[in-house]
Amino acid sequence: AADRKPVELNANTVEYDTQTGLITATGSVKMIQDGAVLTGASAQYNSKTQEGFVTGGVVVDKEDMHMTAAMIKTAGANHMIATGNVVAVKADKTLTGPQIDYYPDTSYAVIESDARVTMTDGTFTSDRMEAYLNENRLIGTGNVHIVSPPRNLDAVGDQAVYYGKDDGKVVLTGNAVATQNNNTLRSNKLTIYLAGGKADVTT
Amino acid sequence: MNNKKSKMIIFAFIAMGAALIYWAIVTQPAPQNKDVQPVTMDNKSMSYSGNTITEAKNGVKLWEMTAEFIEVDAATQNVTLKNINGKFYQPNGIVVTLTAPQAQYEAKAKNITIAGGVHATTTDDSDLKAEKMFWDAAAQTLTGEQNIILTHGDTVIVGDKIETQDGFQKVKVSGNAHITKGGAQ
Repeated sequence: AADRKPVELNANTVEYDTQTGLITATGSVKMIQDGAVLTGASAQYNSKTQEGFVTGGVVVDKEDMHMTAAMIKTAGANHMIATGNVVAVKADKTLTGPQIDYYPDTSYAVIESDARVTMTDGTFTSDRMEAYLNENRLIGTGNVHIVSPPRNLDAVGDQAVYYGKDDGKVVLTGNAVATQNNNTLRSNKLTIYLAGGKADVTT
Repeated sequence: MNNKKSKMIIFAFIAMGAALIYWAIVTQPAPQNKDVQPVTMDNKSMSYSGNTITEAKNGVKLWEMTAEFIEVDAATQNVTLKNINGKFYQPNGIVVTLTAPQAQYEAKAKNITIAGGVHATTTDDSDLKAEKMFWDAAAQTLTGEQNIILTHGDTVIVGDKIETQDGFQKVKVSGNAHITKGGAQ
């Protein structure tokens, strides 16, 4: 396929089956594909299906994304599934969750449960989170909770969309409640501007 | 008179016999096999040139080694081979063909050490370069050591040591192993 990217793999020991295309690597594993560098204790990679995994204190660096996890599966060059205490850092954002699916070619990440994003503007948690990292846009679904200590703001809702490039605008929908300096607003839809050191809340 | 005559006849017969024997020795034909040089025997070993050593197990050929020069240690039966061309016949049908400057066959264990820069190819299109290779007869394993480069299609593997039991179809590379798949090395 056109998007077959070369793969390089270093390790203490590599086993390779020329028929199945299966590569098994153990000891100081370093796997490089399309600019992404994955390191870990052991790895397996099927060069025919381009699927593989790296386990054991895995670290991934791709451009300015730095991710650590217990295991990372690769499904082709543009889909990584990180599981086990996943922490992904890109620009001012730190994404954490039990599993993060990361798509390097679009800088898009999905945290399916217990999602948390920590950033300059505050901490954003929800059941599920989509992160369009290049656009600096986050979509939280289910039990959304935003805390902005610098602005003494606490807000909850069913869904929330965060626009980092738009003055830190957050649109909360569904049972939206925002509290700041003992003032509380309730509505079905709230818009909060986190940037500029203060938070304007409009319904 | 008769006695003298019979003596002369006997003497003539003896002379003819001697001449016949001499003729037989002098005209002995040279050995027909043109590959086999005259065998020179000294007290240490016998030397052959242009010959092949073969190893089989239960009638199945395991390997064969042709060398420009072979020296057999008469005491140990160990064999030193120079400028060799070898073939290893693997259980899965793959044949490994290799060339190297020298090899040492250890008769007791039936192991072979091939050295001086080995180049091997296989019938399923693998290409291996190694400084030396070792055939372990007991384990039926071929091992390559030092500056290993195995190429198979668009896969290139380098490392310190490579082991195989099936003609490099499945390989284990240990020590600074580096594999590149689908791109320049």
